[in-house]
Amino acid sequence: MLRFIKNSCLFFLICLFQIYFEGSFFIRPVADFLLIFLIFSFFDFPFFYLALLLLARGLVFDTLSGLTWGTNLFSLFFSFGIGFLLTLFLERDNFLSKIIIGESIINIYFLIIFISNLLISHSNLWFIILIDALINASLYLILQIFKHHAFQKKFS
Amino acid sequence: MKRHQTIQHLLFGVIILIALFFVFKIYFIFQSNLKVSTVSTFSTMNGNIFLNSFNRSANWLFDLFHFNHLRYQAKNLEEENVNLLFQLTQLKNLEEENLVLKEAFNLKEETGWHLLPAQVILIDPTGLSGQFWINQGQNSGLKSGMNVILENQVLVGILKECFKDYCRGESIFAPQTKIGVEDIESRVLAVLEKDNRGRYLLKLVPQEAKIEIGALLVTSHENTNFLPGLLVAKVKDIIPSSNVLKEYILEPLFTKNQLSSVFVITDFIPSNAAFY
Repeated sequence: MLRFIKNSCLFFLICLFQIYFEGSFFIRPVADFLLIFLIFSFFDFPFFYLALLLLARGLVFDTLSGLTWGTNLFSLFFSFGIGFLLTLFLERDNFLSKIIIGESIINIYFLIIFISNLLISHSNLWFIILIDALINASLYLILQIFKHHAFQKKFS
Repeated sequence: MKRHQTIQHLLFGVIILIALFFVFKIYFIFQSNLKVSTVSTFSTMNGNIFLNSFNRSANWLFDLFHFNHLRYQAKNLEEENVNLLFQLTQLKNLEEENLVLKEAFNLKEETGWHLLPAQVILIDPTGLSGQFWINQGQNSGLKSGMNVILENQVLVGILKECFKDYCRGESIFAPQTKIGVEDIESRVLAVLEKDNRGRYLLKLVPQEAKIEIGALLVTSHENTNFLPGLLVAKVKDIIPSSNVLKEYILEPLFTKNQLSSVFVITDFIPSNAAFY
């Protein structure tokens, strides 16, 4: 129970950080710490708890981003749904699996944002979304490697 | 046994899909209620001590990480100071230029706009849409389509959606923004557009037009959504091209830090609902 409370508090803090410090008036690529945090939580927490966090994240981002209502929520559920399916074929606790699943979630999430921007909003933001995907994929990779090394040191 | 497991998995999948369907249905039905409650939750947190101290730390870290840039800026300012001393001798020309600028800027007195002050409480966390939220809404007489400006008449954007106590605006940096602009000095008309890198470009400038680096651009009379004469951007650089029409890179006239308080022009609502 305690780990759920800890995780939701951390989620709330990162959400605040994302909204107040990463918020962008000008259109520019943004490091999406909340999405990366959700991917980390994905491996350690049950999907139903994660669904609540996804709902909260989707609600906040759909409200504040001004993109078509539901775009963020749908992208999140779809990408994490694919991530969940991948866990049926790959191990959850393996370092490489975590990287493959996490990177897939990030790429699918931004692919859906990319497609929705193209089809629904008809906007020409492919370059920024591409950079967004690259930034977040690299950040996730670095953090995952860092976490892996930290755990290895701890147990050796 | 295996068949039983497959059926169980299938049932589980169907239940999840039905649950998701209902979640999305409720999500779409209560769209405006959810929006307003989310904005009100975060706007109440906006001014508290905890976030203010965080803000100060963020500014300090920003200065630290941009130390070289600041030093470069300070050096540039010193050079600029020396240049300005030389330019004092040309005071007469500057005075004349100042008069022209004043004429362009003092639209408020000429047109008698009604301005409503508002605070920017939240901005787009995804960085994709250039959206912002202000703390005034329908209760203060705000409607979608009204122009949002800064105190020095720099155009910020337009209101897109108004609720009881809040309004969602779209800045001039939103994708697919196209604004008809005019150079204050040469009176050349052109179009402002965003490219896919998020750069702000001045397009459709005739080859013979003389627009200098640093020239100020204001909204032209061709716009249906914006009042004419609002400051938009200044020319930063020219894009070398062999085309018949020239292109320039522009720099916005405001920074993110300036956007805490804005003004809404309440007596101008464009008749056209399709903005930009």
